[in-house]
Amino acid sequence: MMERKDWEKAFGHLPEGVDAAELQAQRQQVVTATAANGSITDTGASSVTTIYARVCGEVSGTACTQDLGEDLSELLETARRDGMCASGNRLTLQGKETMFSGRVETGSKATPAQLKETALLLEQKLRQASGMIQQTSVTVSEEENTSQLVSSNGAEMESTSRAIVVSVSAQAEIDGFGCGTAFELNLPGLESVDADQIVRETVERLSLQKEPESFTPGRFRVLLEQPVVWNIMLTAWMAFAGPRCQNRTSCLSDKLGQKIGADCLNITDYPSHPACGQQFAFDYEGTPSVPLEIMRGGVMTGMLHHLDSAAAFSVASNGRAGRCPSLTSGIPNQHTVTPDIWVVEPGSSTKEQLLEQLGDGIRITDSYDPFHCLDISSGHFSIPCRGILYKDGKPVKNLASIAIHGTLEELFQSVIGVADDLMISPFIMTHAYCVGAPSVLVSELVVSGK
Amino acid sequence: MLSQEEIRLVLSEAVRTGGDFAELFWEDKEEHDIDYSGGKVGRATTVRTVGVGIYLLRGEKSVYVCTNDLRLPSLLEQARRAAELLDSGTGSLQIPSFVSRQIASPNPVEISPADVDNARKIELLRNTSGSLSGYAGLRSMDIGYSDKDQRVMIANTEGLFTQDRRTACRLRLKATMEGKDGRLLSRWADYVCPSGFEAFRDTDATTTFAKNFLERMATSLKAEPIRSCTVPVVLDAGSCGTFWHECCGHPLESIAIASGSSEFCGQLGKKVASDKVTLLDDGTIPGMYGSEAVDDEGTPTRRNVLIENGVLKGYLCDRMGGRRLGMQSTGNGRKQDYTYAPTSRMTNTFLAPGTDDEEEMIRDIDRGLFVTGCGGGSGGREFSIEITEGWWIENGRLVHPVSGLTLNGRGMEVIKLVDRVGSRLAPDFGGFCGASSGLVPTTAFQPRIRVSAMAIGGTAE
Repeated sequence: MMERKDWEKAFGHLPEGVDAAELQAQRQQVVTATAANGSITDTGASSVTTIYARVCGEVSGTACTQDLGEDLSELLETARRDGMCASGNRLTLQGKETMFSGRVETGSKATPAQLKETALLLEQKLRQASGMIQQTSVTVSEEENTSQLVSSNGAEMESTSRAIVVSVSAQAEIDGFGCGTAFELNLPGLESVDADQIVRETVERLSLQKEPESFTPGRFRVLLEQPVVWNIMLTAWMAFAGPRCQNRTSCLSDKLGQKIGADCLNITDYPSHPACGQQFAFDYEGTPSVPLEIMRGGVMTGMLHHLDSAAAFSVASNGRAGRCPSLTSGIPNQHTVTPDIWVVEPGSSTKEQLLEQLGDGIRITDSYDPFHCLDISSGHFSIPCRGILYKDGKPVKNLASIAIHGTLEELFQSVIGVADDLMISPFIMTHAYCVGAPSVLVSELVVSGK
Repeated sequence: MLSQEEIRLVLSEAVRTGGDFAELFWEDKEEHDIDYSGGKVGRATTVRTVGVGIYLLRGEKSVYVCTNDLRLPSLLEQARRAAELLDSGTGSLQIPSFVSRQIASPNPVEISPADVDNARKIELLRNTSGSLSGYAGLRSMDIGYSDKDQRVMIANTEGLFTQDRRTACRLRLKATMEGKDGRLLSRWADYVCPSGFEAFRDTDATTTFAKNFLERMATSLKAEPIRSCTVPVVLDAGSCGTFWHECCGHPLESIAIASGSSEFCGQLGKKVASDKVTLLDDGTIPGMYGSEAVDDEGTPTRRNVLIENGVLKGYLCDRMGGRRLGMQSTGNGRKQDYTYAPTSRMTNTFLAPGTDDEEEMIRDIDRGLFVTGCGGGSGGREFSIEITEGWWIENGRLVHPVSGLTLNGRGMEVIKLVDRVGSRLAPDFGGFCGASSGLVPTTAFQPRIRVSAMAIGGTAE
C-alpha cells in the first residue's frame, strides 16, 4: 500500500494548475485451492495493487498504475497531463468532513491448508452424494480486498474485507442425458461453509435436468428459481444507476417514488450483509457506503449514486462510485456507479410452497448469458433458459432451449411470491460486487421455445 | 524487465518442491483511453498494467501465483510460495540455458499509438462524431478511443525465452436511440484493429462504420415481433460466426473436455456435424484481432482444424489441458493478463467456405429467419446467441426486420443441421471473449450458412 511519506511528498508539491488531489491504493490478495477427483489439482495466490490518482483544479484528470516503483508525484503529473485535453470538465472532489475516516477490517484469515482441506472435504461429499454425478470440482478461495484512500485535504481512510468464495462445478448423466451445473457463493468465513447445503443445492440443480421435450409456447405462470433471478439481477441493477437515470438511458428514469413492482418485492443494496463476506466501507470518492433501499413494497425508493449523479438529483451521494473496466483492460478505470451487495430481499415462503402455488406453469430452473439478454434503456429482456413444465402442481416434462420475454417493469409487477432461499454470489469473473436473490413466483410471463 | 539470470533464480526457487515445469510470464501494458460525449472530451486516462505470473506444474497439478511487486526478493518470495502450495516434496529439475525464440508478429505496427499525441486522437473522435448529425431519435451518442501496447516476456524451465508485443487501437460507439413508438434501444459497436494508429488513416472507414451502426439501430427500431417457431435460419457471412464460437468453440476447449462438461468428449474421429462443416481456429492470420505470434505460454500460434467435413479432428489445448488429455498444446494457452493462469481459449475461429449460392439459401425458404447481426452469447452444452439484427423471410423474400430474439440450442444437435455453406468468407472485426482466464481478443467469422431448422424464441402471440 502507499507509504505516508510518499503521498505527503506528492501532495506537498501538486502539479501546476491542480488545487486538490486524491490517491487510492486498491490491493486484492487471493489464495485458492481446487479439488477434483479426491485431490488438490490447482492452487494459486495473487497479490495485486493498483494505484489511482485524481487531480482537480484548472485541470482535472485521472491516471492509474500497477507500477509500484512509480513516484506518486509522477502519477499525479500523468493525471494532470491527460486532463489537459479534457474540455474543462472538473472532477468532483469532496471535503474531508463528508468523507469516511479511519480504518476498518473485517473477516478472519484462513491458511492455505485450511482452504485445501475445505475444498477436499466438499469435493468428496459432492462426488459421493449421488450415483448420477460423474465429475466434480470445488474451488475454495480467500479474497482479501484492501482500499486505502488519502486526499490532499487531509482525508485518510483504509478498509480491509475478507471473504470466502466457494465455486462448485459438477457434471452428471441422468438416463443417458449429460448435464452440468456451476455456481459460486460468497461467505463470511470458512465456518460459514455448509457442506451439506452446498451438496443438496448441487444435487437438486442436476436432478432437475432431463432429456427435454417439446411444448407449446405462450404465456405461463412461472417459478423463477434462484439462479435465474440472480442472473437477471446481475445486469438489471443498472436500471437503478443514478447516471443512467440522469441521462435518461434507463427504463426506470423518472420512476423514483413510483410503484414499479409488486407489494412483495423489496430490493436493498447493502454495504455489508451477514450472509456475505465481502464488505464495503466507502466508495472510491471516499463517501461512506450506507444501506440503500432501492425498492420497498414495489415502489422505487432509491438509486445508486456517485457525487455527480447525486448532485444532479439534489441529494447526497450514497457511496456507490465505482470503476468498471473499459474492455481493453483488466484494470477497472471507467467512472460509474456499482452496487455493493445487491439483494432481492427473501420472503417468508419456502420454495416448495411457491411450487405448490405454481399449479399449471413452468418452473424455470436455470438461465444462461446474463450479459446479452437485457436492454437497460427499454427494459426488454429475452433470456435463454431451461425448465420443467408443471400440470396440477406436478412436473410433466423437461424443457430446454426456451426463453422468457418481457420488460423489467412487467416482471417486477407480476411477482406474486418470494421464497426464503436467498443465496449471495460474487459478480462473474471480477468479483467486484455481490448479488443475492431468492426464487420468485411470477403470475405470467411469455415463454418461447419448441 | 528482469535479467535472464534473475529469471533463472526465480524458476529454480519455484521447482524446488518437485515441480516438473515452471514458467515466468512478465507483462508491461500501457493503455490510453479518451471519452468523447456531447461534442467534447469527457476524460482522458493513462493506465499502466505491470506484473509477473509464475506458473508451476507437476503432472496434472498446477499452481499459479502473481504479483506486481517486481523487486527480485518479492519474486523469489512468490516462487517459494508457489513451491509451498505445490507441496510435493523435493525436486532437482535442471534448467537448460535459455534459447531466445522470436517469432514475427502477424500484426506488425507502423505507427505506435504511444507516439501519437492526444490532440490527434481527439481530432479522430471529433471527426467521427461530427459525421453523425441528423439521425432522428438519437438520444445519446458516446465515442471512446482506446489503444493498448502490451509487451510480454515468457521464459520457462525448458529453456524457452520469448517476447511478444501486442498493439491494438479501437473506437467504441455507444448509442441510445428512440423509435417513433417511444421505445428505446441501446447498442454498442467497436471499430477495432490489431495495429497501430495507422488503423485510422482512412477516415472514411471510421465514419462509414459509425453511420452504418446508427442506420442499423434505426432499422432495428422498426422491427416487428414474430411468434415462436421452428424454421430454417440463414446466418449471414461475417460476424454471425459468433454462432460457431458459442456452439462449437467453447465445447472444444480442452478445459471443457477435461472437466467432462462438453458433448464433444470422446468424439475425436467421429462424425459430429453435417458434411458441409469444416471449422478452424487460426491464431496466425495477419491483421486479425485474435492473432498473436505466440500464445501466453510462449507456444507459437498455429492453424488448427477442429472439424473437417463434419468429422471431429481436434481440440484447442493449452499446456495443462494438453497434459490432462494426453495431447500437445495447440498454441491456445491464453489469458487476459498476468493475474490469470492460462487456459485453452479460441483465437480466430471460422467456418471454411463451401460452394453454395448465397441468394438461393433465402430464395428457397417459405418461412424462416435471416440473421444479419449477432450480439454476444454463451457456450456450453447449450449455447445462446443474442440476435441484434435479422429479417423475417416469407416465400423467399425478406419482409420485415425482427428484434428481441435469441437463438439457443444444443450445439451438437444444431451443427448436424447445417445444409448450406456459401462460398464467400467474410471477416469480423473481433471482440472479447470472457472465460476463466479473463477477457481475450478473438474473432469469429464465416461464409453465409443455413441451418435447416432451429427453434426461435419469438415474443408475438
